[in-house]
Amino acid sequence: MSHRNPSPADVVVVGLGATAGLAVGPLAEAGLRVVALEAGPHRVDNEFVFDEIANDHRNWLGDPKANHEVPTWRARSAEESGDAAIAITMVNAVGGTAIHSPAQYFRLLPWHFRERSSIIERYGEKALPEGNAIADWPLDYEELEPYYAKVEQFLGVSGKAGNLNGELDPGGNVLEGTRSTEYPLGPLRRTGFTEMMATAARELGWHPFPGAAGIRSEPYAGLPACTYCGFCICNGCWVGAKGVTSLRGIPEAVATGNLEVVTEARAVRIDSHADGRAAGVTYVKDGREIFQPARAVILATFTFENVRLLLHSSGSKHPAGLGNDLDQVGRYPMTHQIVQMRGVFPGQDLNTLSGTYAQGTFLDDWEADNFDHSGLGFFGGSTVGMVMEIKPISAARGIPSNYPRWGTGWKRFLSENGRSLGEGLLQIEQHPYQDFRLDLDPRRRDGSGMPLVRFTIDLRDSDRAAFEFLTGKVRTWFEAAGATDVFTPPMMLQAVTPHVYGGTRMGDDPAASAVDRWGFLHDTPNVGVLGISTLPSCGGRNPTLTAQALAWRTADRLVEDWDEIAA
Amino acid sequence: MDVGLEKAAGQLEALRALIDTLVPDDEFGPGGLAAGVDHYVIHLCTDDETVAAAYSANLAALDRLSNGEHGRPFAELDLVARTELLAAVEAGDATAVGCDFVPDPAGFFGLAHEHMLQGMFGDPVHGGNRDLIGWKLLGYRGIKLKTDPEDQRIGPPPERPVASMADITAERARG
Repeated sequence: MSHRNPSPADVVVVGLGATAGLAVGPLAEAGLRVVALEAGPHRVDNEFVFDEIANDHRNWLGDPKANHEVPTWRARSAEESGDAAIAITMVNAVGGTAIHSPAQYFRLLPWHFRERSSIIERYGEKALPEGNAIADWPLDYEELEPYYAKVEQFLGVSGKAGNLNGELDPGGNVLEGTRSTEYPLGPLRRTGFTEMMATAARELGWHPFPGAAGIRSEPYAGLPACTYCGFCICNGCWVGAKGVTSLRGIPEAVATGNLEVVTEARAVRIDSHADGRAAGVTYVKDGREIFQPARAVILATFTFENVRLLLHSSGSKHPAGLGNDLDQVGRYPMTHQIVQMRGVFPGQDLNTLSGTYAQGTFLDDWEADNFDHSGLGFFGGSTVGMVMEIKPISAARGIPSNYPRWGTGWKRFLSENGRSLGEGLLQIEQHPYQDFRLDLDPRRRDGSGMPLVRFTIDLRDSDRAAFEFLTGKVRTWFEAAGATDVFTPPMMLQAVTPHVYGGTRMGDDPAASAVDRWGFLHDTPNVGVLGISTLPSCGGRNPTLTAQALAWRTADRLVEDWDEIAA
Repeated sequence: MDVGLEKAAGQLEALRALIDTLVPDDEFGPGGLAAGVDHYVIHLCTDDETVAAAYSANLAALDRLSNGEHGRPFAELDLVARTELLAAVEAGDATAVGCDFVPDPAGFFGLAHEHMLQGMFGDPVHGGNRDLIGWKLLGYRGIKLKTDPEDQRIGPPPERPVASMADITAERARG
């Protein structure tokens, strides 16, 4: 027996996280009737726990969905898929994975928007190996800058400008793109460790700056400031100091009366009309399948689910899936090598087992093309940081490999040095290759019967070269500050993390991208795609701010062109 | 205790010997058994049949290895012998003496090592880290909801009791 379906909306949104949580505001304020489907529940601050096991190891916040549909992995297309070596899953809740993100809130650098042509201009036509699929964006940094500024001002991002309208300030990041506005809030509190590392970096001739954070250093817009509790990454904020859209963005949109939020609603398909245009979204709630008709669809889940839902939404006009008429969905994926290094500073009580992971000293001297890559065997780099918030299990695990990792020798190390560990962080940029792919695994399904995403990707020689070179720079930094031992974890492909980009690339050419420069599917223009699945290059830094700037821009475009898009 | 692992006859002794080898009681403080790491692992085995099966099969393999090398089960060896044997398992050498770890020695060692870390340094709410033995070994001063600047400078921070989740409940409720 079928149930009555809801009345038509103007826009139906799939996934109410970091991106859609900001996009619903402009839509609702313009008078559009928006229905947002979120697979998870509402979470409130007092649900979050100071528990490394529940948060960091079991990701209880991903239990509603993400933990039960972890993508499979294989190195190359001839192989059978299996489990990825590392699987860090998402959060399913209103506000999304930003709830447990460390909220390092960096803009990409102008170079990242013109990465392919910049490499070729400086290093020659043959610099990039065959099959390398890095691309220029269809927009440049300057075009996105006003949206970066909007998001920073709206959420209350903490930081210090290093290039304000061309004026350089060594208190901030002098290697950043030109900013139109100062951060609305000053940087998160400096600590003994972050200042020691800033001094060491300056002595090396590098350009350290206090990292930008989507965490409020002061009360802002009626929301509280960070208390530096030490349980930030992989956890929601106990006071609500993170720039999560469930606290800022969604409430304002709900207040217009034009946004209806449907929680614990799992989208299973984007339906399309006979003419090929999207007709709405089918979702499951309380075991019932419900169709929400709408004139436009905003798909705003993480990379994996964006790709999966599009491929799973075939229709008579789109037999290979929505957005996939020219075989573009699932192409050009890439991921970061997230590397957590440790330095040992004997006899120093660093108090690094406190604070937040965004409370760090960072630098861009080894990011983008800020150094000569001739002969290095790779392009791009990583923002590198020295950060707070080592947690106890992690402290006991990540120790230099010249010490034993169990037994009395290990206990001696922990007893003598447990309070003397500093953490260095890299997020090494990867380039996509033509044979990397996200698709539907023909052999594996989740509990609901949907095929799992299958990720075909491997590390290349350039990734190994980047790892060696960049971890070497962090080692130099540690040693300059007085570390006697430095721990570098082994290089590992990180196929399943919240830092997987691509799959619905943005571009002007429908034969080489899935969405246009505004984020709408080339072949189904009343579907907008939000999230880092649209990025042609990833940079060596955190994705959220860029995804949110693009989301706001897509929402503005939808309002501006409503009559045409929703025709 | 009434859990899956114990039903496999005698395996609790092997588990306890394994924990005691990974984290011995020594001059650097109480060991993993005092911290309740065995309880933590037993909880995991109770909650997850796959984990229980991995321990059961691999502890049996550890005993077979020990019997082959020393003529006695693992739990009856002294710490030096247990440490040598476990180092061989960690290095993946155990297969060389015809042992049959499941799925592979390094895999099981990695699993047990990870669980040891969790049971030793996780919040006591999960059954390990009894008396905050792990945190005290590490010098971790526990949860502080509102950290002050002097808690984050270099040098000894202001003294405070080491707090776990159970200790902060009241303060948290006050906000």
